[in-house]
Amino acid sequence: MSLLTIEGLEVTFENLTGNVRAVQNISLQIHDQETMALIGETGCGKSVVAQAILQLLPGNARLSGTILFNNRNLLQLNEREMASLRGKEIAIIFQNPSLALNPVYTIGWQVGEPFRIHQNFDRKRSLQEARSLLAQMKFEKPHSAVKMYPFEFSGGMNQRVLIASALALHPLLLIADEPTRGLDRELIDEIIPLLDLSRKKYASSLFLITHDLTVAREISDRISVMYSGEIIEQASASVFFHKPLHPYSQGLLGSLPENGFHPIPGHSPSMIDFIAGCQFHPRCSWANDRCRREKPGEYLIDGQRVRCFRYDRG
Amino acid sequence: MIEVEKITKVFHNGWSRKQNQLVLDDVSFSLLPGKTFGLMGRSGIGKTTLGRVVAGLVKPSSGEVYFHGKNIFDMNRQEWLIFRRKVQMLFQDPQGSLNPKKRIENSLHDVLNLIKIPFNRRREMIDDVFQVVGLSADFLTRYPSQLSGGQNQRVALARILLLKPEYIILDEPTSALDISVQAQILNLLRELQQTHGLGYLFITHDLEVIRYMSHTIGVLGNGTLNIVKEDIHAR
Repeated sequence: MSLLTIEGLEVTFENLTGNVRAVQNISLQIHDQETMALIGETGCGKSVVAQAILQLLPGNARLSGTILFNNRNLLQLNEREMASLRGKEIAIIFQNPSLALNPVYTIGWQVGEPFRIHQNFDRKRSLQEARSLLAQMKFEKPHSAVKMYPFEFSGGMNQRVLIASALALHPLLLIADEPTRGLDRELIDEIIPLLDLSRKKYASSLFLITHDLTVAREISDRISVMYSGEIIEQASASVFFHKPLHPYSQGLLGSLPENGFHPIPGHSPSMIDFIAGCQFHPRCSWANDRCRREKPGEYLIDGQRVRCFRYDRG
Repeated sequence: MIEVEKITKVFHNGWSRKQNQLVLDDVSFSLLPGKTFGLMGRSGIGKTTLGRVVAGLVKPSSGEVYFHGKNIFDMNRQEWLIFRRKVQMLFQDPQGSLNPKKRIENSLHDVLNLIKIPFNRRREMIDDVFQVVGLSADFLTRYPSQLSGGQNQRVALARILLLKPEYIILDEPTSALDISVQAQILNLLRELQQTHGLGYLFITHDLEVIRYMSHTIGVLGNGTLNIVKEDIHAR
């Protein structure tokens, strides 16, 4: 059963310099107890999708489409209903752990916050819960950890603190927005199994947003590839890493270290001045006249969905 | 050639001696022109501190750094200015190393101003380095926030190349970038090394990247540097 269904979501930011079409007509589903990874380059609109789900976008954003979560359209809820949902049913781990925590409150206060807000626990009890959560996140001394401030922790520790507070109320959907950005390999190997384990333990689904393909390969069940505001390929993880269909996905895998650092030529396109046809055609070695004229539709090849004319069999 | 000899660095964290932290303990290595020395280690181990010592930005507690046979901490002002010009540093966060309130063009002009290049020759020099790093001239009028991470990193690299350095200290130059952009920057750095004969001190925690880039690899752990492999591949 699908927990979250996004249909035809469009997000546009109205700016003085022009309208930025950050997300264009994307549709995706996240099923119960699965890990879905959304991968793509910086600035392709991945985080905007996460913020659209939680309605955290700034005032100049215009949204259309539907986001169904447990058969409720999140785009039609008011702020109060959304606030009761955030942290309780849908939780998010933001990128940059050191900035996501408030520097003037203790770790214990911040991890205990969901309990105070959603379950009306008092200060003492919320601290107690915070301690047990931190212990689960493999903090050696949770008693002293709750009294410390974010600047006293390393990036990896702060990341674990964020995971702890996101998992506090056993959310149905956990969104992790670049949980490994800026962490070194050793810490990634520590954080990612922890995320995976927590998902299995609390039976929630994980929506992992990342540009790190190795991380996506390690824990995700399905992969969606985003390029310039569109989802261009969706496949199960095991199939995707063996047989990517879209030329962009192939390029991404080719730039991995084990495949010899072969970069995709060119830069990602501007989100303001859109080019006609397929967004990827200026960088694609397969591009023909049709790619320059028309936008490719979605083709279904053995369970993989791909937006590329190479797979047009009709 | 840059020779680093018996560098020790202690950080004093509090009033008690117990809180003194020995970050670098008797570290020696040398940087050769046209070669890359890869420096590895986990985060917080002192990789960046060592890089900053080599660039002359941090004074070590003991030990010396020699640039063409001269101790950099004993240089007179003239020599020091030349040293600072010839040894440049590229930082991890490209956005943070460019002034957000200045157009790219003005950031580059600042550098040329420092080395007293006349105004009429500047545009030509900028166009040249932009060609080398693969940027088009219309980026010049933009602000750093209007560029992507990889593009900003290219601008930062262009700014360094304007000074015609001999050595570049690369402090995690690609860890804030995407995988596909990382490959672009790494290949660009290798190309520049071949054409300009630059020597690199490449600091990273990424094993694959360091294997791809380095001639010699040193691993920093508990303050000491172990040189693991010399000339791993004759590229």
